[in-house]
Amino acid sequence: MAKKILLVDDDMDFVMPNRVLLEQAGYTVSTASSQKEASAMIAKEMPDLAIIDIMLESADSGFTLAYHIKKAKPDVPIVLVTSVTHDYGLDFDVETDEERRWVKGDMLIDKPIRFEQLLDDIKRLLKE
Amino acid sequence: MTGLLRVLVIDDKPDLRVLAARALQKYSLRVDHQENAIAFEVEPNEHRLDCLSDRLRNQKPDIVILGESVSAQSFFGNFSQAVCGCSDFAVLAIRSDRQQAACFFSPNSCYFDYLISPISKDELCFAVAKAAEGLIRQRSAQDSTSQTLSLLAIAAHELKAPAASIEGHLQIVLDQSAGENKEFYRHLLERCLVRSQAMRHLLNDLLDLQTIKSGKKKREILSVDLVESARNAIETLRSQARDKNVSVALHSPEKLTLQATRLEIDIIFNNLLSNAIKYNIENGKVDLTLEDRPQDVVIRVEDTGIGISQQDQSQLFREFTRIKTEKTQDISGTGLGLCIVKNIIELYQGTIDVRSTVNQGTTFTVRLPHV
Repeated sequence: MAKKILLVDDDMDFVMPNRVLLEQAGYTVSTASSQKEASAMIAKEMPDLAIIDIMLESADSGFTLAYHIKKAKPDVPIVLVTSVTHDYGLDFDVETDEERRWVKGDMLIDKPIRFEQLLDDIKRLLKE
Repeated sequence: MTGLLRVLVIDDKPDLRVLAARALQKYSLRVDHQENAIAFEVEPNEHRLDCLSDRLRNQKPDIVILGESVSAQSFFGNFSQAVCGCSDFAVLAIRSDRQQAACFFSPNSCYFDYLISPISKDELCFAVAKAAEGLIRQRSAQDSTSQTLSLLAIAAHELKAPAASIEGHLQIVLDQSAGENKEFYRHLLERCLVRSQAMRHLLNDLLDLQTIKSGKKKREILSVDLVESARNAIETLRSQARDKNVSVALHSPEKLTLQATRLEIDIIFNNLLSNAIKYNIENGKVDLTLEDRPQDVVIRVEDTGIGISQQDQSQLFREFTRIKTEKTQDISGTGLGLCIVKNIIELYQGTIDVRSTVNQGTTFTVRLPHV
């Protein structure tokens, strides 16, 4: 059965192509453009993996959403994506256990994202 | 910058404080690019070095005068402690000789000068005037640098998002990640075009804002017919209104002239009307009313759109403000339009205000005084 991926971003130019390409790669993809919309979706059905942009309705909505997913189901891998990171003084990462205590994500990727790279990471996180 | 600078005198004896109070009581100073003359207020209470940190923090003086009893060493110790978070003042030290004055250090962030005792009232006034000018120069440089830097940082972020999208789309097309799906590639290339156009609009708006804020561009003030300008703006935005089926009505006298710069008036109309259409509902309405009054001209743009919450209204005229709701997420914009409009209106000593009810509509009212 196809694995389910939840893709959350308010930028349609990120959601649209990645949805098409992930579906083409054999995944079932659902999308949301806000933390609120995504929260309603995960309350009904938890995905096998989530890709979440950090800045949604507010600057840290993505962190909050990731926290709720991990709290409900800790083994759901989360890929955080952003175009605002170290260049702008926001110093966070998910490389060490200490960092993951605060930021609930398994990976952090800077935009723009190369799809082939994202697909490799998804397969690795889903142990495929 | 206020027209009043606070002076704090630190010395063991009252003489210097009394001298400063007498000298500066009726003294005022004209400084370039400052509207008001600068006056001085000498803090009347006695101050000793041991309470310097608290004084500097609590009273936020603009100029600190240090008497002879304050040694460089003791000042240095207290000063480095006191200066944390409040270095935005000038220091004048009274010394008995030049060598002693040289012992003083001058922290980079602080204007510093010294006077050799005994000092007269005139010498003190002259030194205080120099210190005030140095301080004002330093403060305005800091203001404009930090404003420019923060505008630059936000602009960089606003440009980074579409640049990342374009790069991502082109990479997919180049890698042929979607196999033979030509329709999909075509759609991505169309999106690249849309996003690059948005980047160009943002750059244009940034340049407009920079030109207005710098005040460097020569403004040609002529008699401008606002009715003609309004009609042109409606014509320019006709296709945008048609796409949304929004009707735009103009209510105005036949002719209404104002001494103004044509381009600036066009920017005001284009921005306000474009917003009234963009943030309207399907089949909505926009009423543009022009009114000539003895003192001023009133421009009112009223729409039947989605409205703006009370909380968002307070942010509306800031740079890069875009109201994020489910209803606005598909509407493109640079977040600079209203900020530019407000800056232009301020050039005319005019005002802009907004009244809005969520889901009912918004009214912007601009008042531009006749010269």
